[in-house]
Amino acid sequence: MGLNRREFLRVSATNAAMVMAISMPTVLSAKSKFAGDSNKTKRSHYDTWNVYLTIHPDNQIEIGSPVQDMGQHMKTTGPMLIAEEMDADWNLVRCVAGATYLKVDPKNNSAIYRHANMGTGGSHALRNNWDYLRQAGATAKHMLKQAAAKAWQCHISDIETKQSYLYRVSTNEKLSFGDVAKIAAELPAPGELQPLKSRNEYSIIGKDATTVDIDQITRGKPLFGFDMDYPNQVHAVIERCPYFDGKIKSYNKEKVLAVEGVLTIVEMVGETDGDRRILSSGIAVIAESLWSALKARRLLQATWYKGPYAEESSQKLAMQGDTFCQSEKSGNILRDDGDLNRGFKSSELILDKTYFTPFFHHACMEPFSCIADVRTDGATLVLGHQSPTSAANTVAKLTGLDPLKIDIQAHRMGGGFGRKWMSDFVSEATVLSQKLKAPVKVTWTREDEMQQDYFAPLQVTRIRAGLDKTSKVAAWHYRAAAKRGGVHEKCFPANLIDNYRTETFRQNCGTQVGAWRGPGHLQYTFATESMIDELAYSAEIDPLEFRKTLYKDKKSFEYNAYGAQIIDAQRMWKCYEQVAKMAEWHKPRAKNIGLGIAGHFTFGSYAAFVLEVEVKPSKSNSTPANFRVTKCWGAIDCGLAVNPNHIRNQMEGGFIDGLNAAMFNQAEISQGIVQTANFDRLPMLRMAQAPLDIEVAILENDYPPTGVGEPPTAPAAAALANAIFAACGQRIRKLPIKLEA
Amino acid sequence: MVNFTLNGVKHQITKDLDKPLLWFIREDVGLKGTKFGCGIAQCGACSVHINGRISRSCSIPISAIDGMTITTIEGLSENGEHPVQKAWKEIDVPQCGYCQSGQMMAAVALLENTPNPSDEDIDQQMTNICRCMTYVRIRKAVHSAAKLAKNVG
Repeated sequence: MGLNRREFLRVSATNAAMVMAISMPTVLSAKSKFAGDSNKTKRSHYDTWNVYLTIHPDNQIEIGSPVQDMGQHMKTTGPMLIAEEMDADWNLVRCVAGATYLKVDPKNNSAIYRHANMGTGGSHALRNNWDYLRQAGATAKHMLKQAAAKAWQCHISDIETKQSYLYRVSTNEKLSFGDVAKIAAELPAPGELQPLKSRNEYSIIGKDATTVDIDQITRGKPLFGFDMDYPNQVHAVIERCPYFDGKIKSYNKEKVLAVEGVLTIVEMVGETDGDRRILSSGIAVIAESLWSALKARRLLQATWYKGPYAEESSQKLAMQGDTFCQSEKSGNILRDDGDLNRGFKSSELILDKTYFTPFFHHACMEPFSCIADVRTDGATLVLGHQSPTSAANTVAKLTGLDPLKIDIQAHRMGGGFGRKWMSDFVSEATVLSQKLKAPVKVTWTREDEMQQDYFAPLQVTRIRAGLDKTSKVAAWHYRAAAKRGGVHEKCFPANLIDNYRTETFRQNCGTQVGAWRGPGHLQYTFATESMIDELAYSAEIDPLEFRKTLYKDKKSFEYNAYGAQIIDAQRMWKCYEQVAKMAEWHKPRAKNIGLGIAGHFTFGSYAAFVLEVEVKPSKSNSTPANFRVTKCWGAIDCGLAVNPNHIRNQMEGGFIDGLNAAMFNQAEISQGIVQTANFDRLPMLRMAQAPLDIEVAILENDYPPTGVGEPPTAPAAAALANAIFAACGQRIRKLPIKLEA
Repeated sequence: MVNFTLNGVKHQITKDLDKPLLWFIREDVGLKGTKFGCGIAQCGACSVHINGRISRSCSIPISAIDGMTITTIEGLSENGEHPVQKAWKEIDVPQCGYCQSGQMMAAVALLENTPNPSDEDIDQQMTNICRCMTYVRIRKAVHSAAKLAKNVG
C-alpha cells in the first residue's frame, strides 16, 4: 500500500534504549464501518499517528501519553492499546506526559498535529485512535522480533512473544525486550502494516487497569499544570472586567505598586469576535511571588465601563427563551418528517410542556494556570489544555512566531469539561511574557474561573406531543431556544416517530457559552426523556413498556453529525432493557420511593440509567419536600470495553455530574455580572447528596470501542425527574430541581 | 514570629504572616500536593492536618499556626502506604485526581475519630467537593481504608 518508509518509522538508539516514533498512514482509521467518527471530513488532521516508546535495558517500558488526560483516563487507555499489541507486560509499563508534536498546515500556516489528534473533547480520543495505537504496538513487536532473530541467528517465524519476553520456540531460549531493544532500534522499519490480534487473544484490553498516575496522585506529587513552575518566572494575577465587552475605567495603581514584591501593572486589552469573548479587558498585577500578586490585587478597586450587556440577567434570558418557544412565529426548522398536522389531528391525547435548563458552570476543580516564556526565537508554554494545537495557534497568532518554534508542555488537567478547550488563559500569559520579556505564570482564582466561564447555554425546550388511540406517539413537535448549538434534530426519539418536527431559536446575549460535558445532550435529554415519561403516565402505560413500543422494530439510522455515523435503535433499547433488569424495574417499591429511567446516545456510545429516589415529605406546608438518590443502575454500550474499570468510573462520576447539573449547577447572571462566583454561591453536589452506589453493566458486543467521558451524563436529570414523579407525583420541568411542599 | 512544624520540618516565619498556609506550602516550600480550589474554605482541595485536625489551609493565615504541627499529603507516609492511600489505590478512586489529596486527608481525619464509619458518618464528615463526582468510589475507599487500618493496628 505504498507506504513511505522514511515517514513510517523513526527509531533512535540512546543509552541502549529503544526510542521509536512510529507514523502510520491514514487508511487505517476509516476501515471499520461502525467506527462512528467524523474522520472523513477531518482526515488532514489525522493523517499519521505517532507514539513515543522507550524500552530500557532493565525491560521497563516508558510510553508518552498519546492523548491529554483531564480525568477521562486516556493516559491509561491509550498505552493499554500499544502494550497489548506489543505483548508487553503491563506491570513493566510506565506512562508519562507526552510531548506535543506539531506541523504546519501550508494552507493557512496554522499548527496542526504532526501525527494524530492529541487533544481531548467530544469523547473522540479512543474511537479515533483505536487502530493507530494498536498498529504502533504491533510494529514495535515486529521490530523486537526481528532483533531477536538477528541475535539468535534464526528465522523470525521461530520467535514468539509474551509478557515483554521473546521466546525461541525450537530451543526454548529467551530474551527480554530490554535485551534486544538496542538492536531493534538500529533495524530498518517494516514497510507494511502489521497484523493485529483478534479479540480472543487480548490479555490487557478488556481487563481492569488502574489509573497510571495513581501513585503520584495518592502521594500528592506535582502532576497538574497548576503545579508547575519555571525558572525565573514572575507571577501574574488579573482582575478582569466582569461585563462582556466592558472596559477599564479606573483603578488604584499607587496602592498596588506599593505592595512589597509587586513589580508592575499591565493593562490587558479585551478582544471580542462578534458576541464571542476572546479575551477580557483587565488589570494584570505582576509580582515576584503569587502571594504578593494576590494580595495587591485586592487593593485595585477597579471600576469598569459596563459595555452593551450591563442589564443582562439569566432570568430575563429564560423568559425570552420561553417567549420564543411559545410564539406563533416559526423558528429554524431543522427537521420535518411526515405530516405534523395530520399527526396531531389523529391524536387523542396531546401534551404540551416546557422545560428549563439554566446556564451550567464548568467549575473545573483545577482553576487555570499558564506559564509562557516568549522569546525572539520561540516560546515555551506550560499548562493543562484540552487542545494543544489551539494553544499553539493562539501563541503563534499573538507573537508571529513559527508554530514549530512553540513548545507546548501539556500536563494532566484537574478537570476540563470543555472549558479547557478555550485559550483565553493562554493568550494572557503570552501577551504578558511578550510585554515583560520574561517567563510569566498566570494564575486564575476560583472567582476568575467562575466569572469568566463559557457556560453550557441556558435552554428552554417546549415539546408538544400527541398519542393516537392505540397510545402510539403520532406527533412530536420540539422547539428549543438557546444561544448556541445543540443536538436537537439528530437524537432519539427522532426516527422513532413518523410525524416529527424540530425547530430552534437562537438567543443573542453577552453571556458567554461554550462546550460542556456532552454539549447540549443533557438539556435535550432532560426535555425528551421527561416528555416520554409524561406521555407514558398519561396513557397509563409503564414507562419502560412505553419505550419498548417506541423502539420496537426500529433499526439503525444515519447520524449525520459529530461523533458517529450511525445511531442504532436496538443498541439503545438493549441498554434500557438491561438496566431495567438490574434495577428489578417491575418490583413494587415502598411508599415515597420511586424509580426513573432515561437513556441517551452521545458521541457513539449508548447509555441508560435507572435511578431510585426516596422523597421525604415536608413536615409543614411552608417547607419543601426533600429527597435522596439512594441507588442507581447504569448500562452502557460503548463497543468493545477496553478498560472496564474506567468505564465504570466514568459511568459513576459522569452520571453524578449530570445529577449535579439537575440539582445544583446553576449560573446566575444579573446586572450583566456572573453572581455565582465561588462555591459559597454555587453549591455543588457533595457526598451527602451522592447515591450510595451505582451498579454498572457494560454490554458486550463486536463494535469497535467508543468514548465514555460524556455519554453517562446526559440521562441523569431526566432519570431523576422521572423518579421523583414516580415517588411523589411532582413533575419537575425546571432545573435545578426544587420540590414543592 | 511564628514557629511551626510541617511534615516534621521546623519553620520559623517572620514576615508575610497574613499569607495563607496553602500558599506557604505550595509556593514557599514547593509541596504541590495540597491544592488550591476556592480560597474560601468551601471545597476542601487544600485540606491538611493541623495538630491532627482537618483544616482548610487556604483560609488559615500563618499567624494562626504558631506552635502547631502540620501534616500534608506528602507527610502522610513515606511511600504512599498509609491505609487511606492504599485504599485509594485499591479502589482506583481518581478521575482527574486534583481534589484527591484533600479527600484523603479528610478520610484520614475521619478514620482517626471514627474508626468504623457508617455511610452517615461519611456523608457528614466527607464534605470536600470532587468535581469529577467520584463520591461512590471515595465512599468505598473510606470503608476499605477502615478495614485496612484495623488489620494494621
